[in-house]
Amino acid sequence: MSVYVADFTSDTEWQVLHDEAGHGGTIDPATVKHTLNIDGTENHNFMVIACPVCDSVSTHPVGGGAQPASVQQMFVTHAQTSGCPCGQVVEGDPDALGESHIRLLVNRMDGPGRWVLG
Amino acid sequence: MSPFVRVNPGDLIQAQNLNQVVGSLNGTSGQGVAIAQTSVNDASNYALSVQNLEATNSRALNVLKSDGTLLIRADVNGVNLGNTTITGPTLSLPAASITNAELGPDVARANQLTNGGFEIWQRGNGPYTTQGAYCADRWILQIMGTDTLSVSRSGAGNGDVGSIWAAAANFTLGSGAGQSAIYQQLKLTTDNALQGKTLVFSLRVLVSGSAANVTRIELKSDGTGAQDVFSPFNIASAGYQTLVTPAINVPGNATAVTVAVYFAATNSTILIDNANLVVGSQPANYVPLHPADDLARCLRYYERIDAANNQAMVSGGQAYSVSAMTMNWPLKVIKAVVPTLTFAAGNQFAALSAAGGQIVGTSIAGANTGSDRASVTLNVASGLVAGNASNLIAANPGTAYMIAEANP
Repeated sequence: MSVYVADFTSDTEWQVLHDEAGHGGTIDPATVKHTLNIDGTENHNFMVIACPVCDSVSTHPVGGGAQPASVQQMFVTHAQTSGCPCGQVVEGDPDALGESHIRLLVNRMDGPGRWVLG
Repeated sequence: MSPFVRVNPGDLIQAQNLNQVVGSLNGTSGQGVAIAQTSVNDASNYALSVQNLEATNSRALNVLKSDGTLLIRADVNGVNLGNTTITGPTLSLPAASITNAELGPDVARANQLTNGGFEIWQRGNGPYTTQGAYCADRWILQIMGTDTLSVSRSGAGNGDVGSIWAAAANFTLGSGAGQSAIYQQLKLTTDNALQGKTLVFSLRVLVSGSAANVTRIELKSDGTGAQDVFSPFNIASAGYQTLVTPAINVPGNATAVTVAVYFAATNSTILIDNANLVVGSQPANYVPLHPADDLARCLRYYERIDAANNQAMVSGGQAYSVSAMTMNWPLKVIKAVVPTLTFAAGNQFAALSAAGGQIVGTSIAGANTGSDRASVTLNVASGLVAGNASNLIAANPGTAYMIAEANP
């Protein structure tokens, strides 16, 4: 599968699984970042997460890719805590705004049937 | 209807006696007398034989309905049952007259599953032991409580028909209470379109030690009025046996259909093979896909590139600074959704230098991925020339891999 968040433990600690390799560990959520476009700007449709054991990396699309529930939650949590690089959501906005923005991105990428969060 | 009345020699013949005969011949209502059932006790002769000696057409029998239309006709053309003709070894039926319920299991029908034969294992041959992990392509482990489950690819000659490989499960029952399983889920919102369809699921198993009550299979969906049905448990058998679920009707608002193989008793080797989910109320025998089609279905969800040291992985890259290059990775098959890209550590990759050497990477990531292609960015410490072309190659120690995975 991929490197993905198995448990959003706290604001400073996430549990990560790299299931295909059969290992995992703890990461700082701040290390999970949006990918960069060639011009250096952040792309709000993709985030990169690294395995703390073997340094493999997974680039997840906002639609969910290999792990829709975990990945969509990761984008939502990130938007709620740090805002979105597009500026539609900023740090401190209500949580519902972050979630609705991510749901919009999911719908745009994979269609309205893709959203799996409640 | 009264029988004919015999007239003895010397009796006066009354009109009613003659009219009864005439009326019977004319088919007057109430006047006919049914031909009596012919009673014989003869092992070699037929009770009734009709032969037309005219050789060309041999029109032997013609039976009509009350409206004059054909009920049964037997002649040189065969037997015609009104709308069904049997001619020699050939049976002709009206178009669209055989319903699904009348089909035998040897009538092949499209399998809705991916990798139903457990032939494709792109992630490796196992063993797989982790809750939620994929084993064979599209098949996921569900391990409950203190149960343990280990699934591997079973070697060639696994003994089943129409099969090269099977899944071999080694299961130990703990507190799972029969809820541990291997399952495949079809997502109806983004992938399969089975809403409103009737489905039936079958699968073949071989249980070591001929043990009974080890495994059974499940078919279910969600949605309004959804059904969740199981096959009977396997019986004691030294050979493969086919488990079949009852059919379910998938609600129009269903979002997923799931098939599963459940394990209820400890057993060292449960071979699982030839899973078949078909539309209709009758199960169908598993028919193996052509391997190209089988693999293509799996590639819709998962593909990977593995390379040894210096082997090319993605060509057509371009450096856009001294420390970064981008390239397009065209995926083999369009994915069900936009995939996750997973790469080995950045130092497992390199850019091909102008002199043909390696410029080892420091990090790698995907970007701007679509369902049919991915952009990949490789960062290096230095050595690239902006505007130059380059290729992505595997770098020493050479365990580079790239995976695109889309699970709808």
